[in-house]
Amino acid sequence: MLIHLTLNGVGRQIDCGAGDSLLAVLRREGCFSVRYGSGTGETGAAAVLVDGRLVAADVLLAAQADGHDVLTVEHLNAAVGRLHPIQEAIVDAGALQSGYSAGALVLAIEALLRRHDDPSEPEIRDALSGVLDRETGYVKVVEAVQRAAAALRGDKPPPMEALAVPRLTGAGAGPDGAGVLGSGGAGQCTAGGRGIADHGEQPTPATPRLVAMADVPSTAVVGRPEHKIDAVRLVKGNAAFTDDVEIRGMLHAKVLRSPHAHARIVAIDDSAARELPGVHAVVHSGNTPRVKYASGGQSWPNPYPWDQVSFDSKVRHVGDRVAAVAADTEEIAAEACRRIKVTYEVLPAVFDETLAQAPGAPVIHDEDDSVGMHDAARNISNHIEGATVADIESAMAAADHVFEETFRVQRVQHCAIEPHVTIGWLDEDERLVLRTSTQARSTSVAWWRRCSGCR
Amino acid sequence: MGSVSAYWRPVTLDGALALVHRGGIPIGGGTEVNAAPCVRPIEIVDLQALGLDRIEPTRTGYSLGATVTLQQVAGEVDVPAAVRDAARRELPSTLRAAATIGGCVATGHWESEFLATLLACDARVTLARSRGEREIHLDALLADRRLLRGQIIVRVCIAGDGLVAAARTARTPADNPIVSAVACRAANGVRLALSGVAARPMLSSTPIRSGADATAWAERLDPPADFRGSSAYRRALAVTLARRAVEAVT
Repeated sequence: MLIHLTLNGVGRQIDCGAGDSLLAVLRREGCFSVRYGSGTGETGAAAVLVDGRLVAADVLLAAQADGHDVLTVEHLNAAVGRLHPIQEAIVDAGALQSGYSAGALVLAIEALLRRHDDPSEPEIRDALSGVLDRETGYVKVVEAVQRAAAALRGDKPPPMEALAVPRLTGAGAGPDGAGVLGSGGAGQCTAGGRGIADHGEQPTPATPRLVAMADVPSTAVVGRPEHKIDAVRLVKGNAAFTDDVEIRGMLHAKVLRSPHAHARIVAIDDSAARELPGVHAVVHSGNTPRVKYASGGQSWPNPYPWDQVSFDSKVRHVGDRVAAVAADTEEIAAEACRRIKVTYEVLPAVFDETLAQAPGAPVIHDEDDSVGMHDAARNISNHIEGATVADIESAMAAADHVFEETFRVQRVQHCAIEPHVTIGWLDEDERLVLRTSTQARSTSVAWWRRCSGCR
Repeated sequence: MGSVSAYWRPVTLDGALALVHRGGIPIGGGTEVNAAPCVRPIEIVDLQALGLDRIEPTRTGYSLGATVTLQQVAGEVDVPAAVRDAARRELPSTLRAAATIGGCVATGHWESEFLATLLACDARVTLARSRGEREIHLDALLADRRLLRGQIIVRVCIAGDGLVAAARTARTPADNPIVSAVACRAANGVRLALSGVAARPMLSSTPIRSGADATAWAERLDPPADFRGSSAYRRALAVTLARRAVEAVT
């Protein structure tokens, strides 16, 4: 279907499917600042302005935007190297970390400041509530909004400098001995409430910028604010992330995942998937080398246990990898995955770490080629003991009090909003280049070399 | 996003009803429908062109059009403060500007403090059907979703009088409440509604005249359990919050 909308001030006619999200259409139109975080609107990474309203483009059909004005952060990127005051404030305040949702953040601030040129801190926090990314924590973002509001009003925000406060005690202490959070005066903050003073006073920061001691020497770099090196690309929403990369003729991959918590893969029939036009490759345990590696640990050599395989003949959790398809489009790859026929022998599963160690529990790693597992029969992958540096027994016997406890800590998942994405291509010298969303570059290279056999 | 086979934007209510009768899914903002996975193809009927996006005073309160967004309600100074606050807290900013009154009613989320607030404010829902319009109480609609079949929510009317108080417990100040209680004292008595205590937000079925009445009603509830709270915990919250809300208005 054809839709007509105004995109960043320019009338556009766009051909799209009835079910295409506005997110997908905007990215196809080159608005890479609008990013995928989820398909449910929860992350806010795909937020755009539609007729001035901040909405999540991942839960809006492009067809719903037919006849409306759509703005992305690109509409503020007027000139190379120049920033809008909102973008400047974000950079100056240091309110960027990943920057993945920076485009949405800028638009949320723009929408707020159009409604209210001097918002309170609660109003700021509410306006940003839909953008899940908290970029350095909440405080700097709030401060950035206050600075942007001041700049747009024509007020001059204070310079971003360290604030020396009096000593708490002894010579040089403040009049009441408590100089950390004072009242009044430029640079002091009020706990909670408004960070920008009104009635013509100098605007104050949302939180104090503290220097612990008043006699720290003046420095050029230490203790001075510094712009994040990649701030411009992030705050402008430029194509900076892996999924923003587009290469002519690139293929798209999808992974088929296990619906079972514990199962053996008895057979895989990929014939129907291979016959689908547009499919270039289907990989699984039947046609990939069985190379063991450890998925954890970033040291070298790859630390034990080596219990993982790219595509194993057994699945050990719901969502475990079964097969992957490379095709001309994401849709074809997804359809091909649906056509792969997998025969599973479903096995008993265990979901509790105590039960997993009990006699008779299902053995998760019952293969004979895993290396370095502490006790596979009891499902214990690692055992860690601290080095003994003293006579513990004597020390415990002599202690006034002895406390012993068993602590259970849940697995922690960072829940990065940027999904796991990797793009690979052969460069002009026919070397494989992999661009991936990871903080562990060297580990990724090591895993790839081990699993692929490439040097 | 589900598999959408067709998108329609009718300009008349009759046209919208005809599409819904043949299986089309009506949406206001689409924040729920577009986010739900759906294997079978669906046809979307977008109601944005039907002019249901107005908030208007009535003889007894306010009429909220079905495609009025939560953000519109949150920003409408004439609407009772409790309703404005509940609309603002219901969803984060990016979803609030698209999610609609009609969508909230149609979804009927069991932990919705906004729906509990509407219940306490004696909300009545107008449904359009081929034979005309009819009005039913929100409580009746939440109790039997089949009443929505083949019909389109046109507006929700709430009482404008009465003292309203709310109490809630959530994991964080910005989170949806695990349990919320909303009480409204109007000329004809106190209405008490709870969210997070049953498969849908509940309106008290017994007369509420005091905190003790609220406690007695809440103690008889059997809330479902999930990772946010066991049944016993939710019941304990309901008892305390119901009493607080009612005592705040009596």
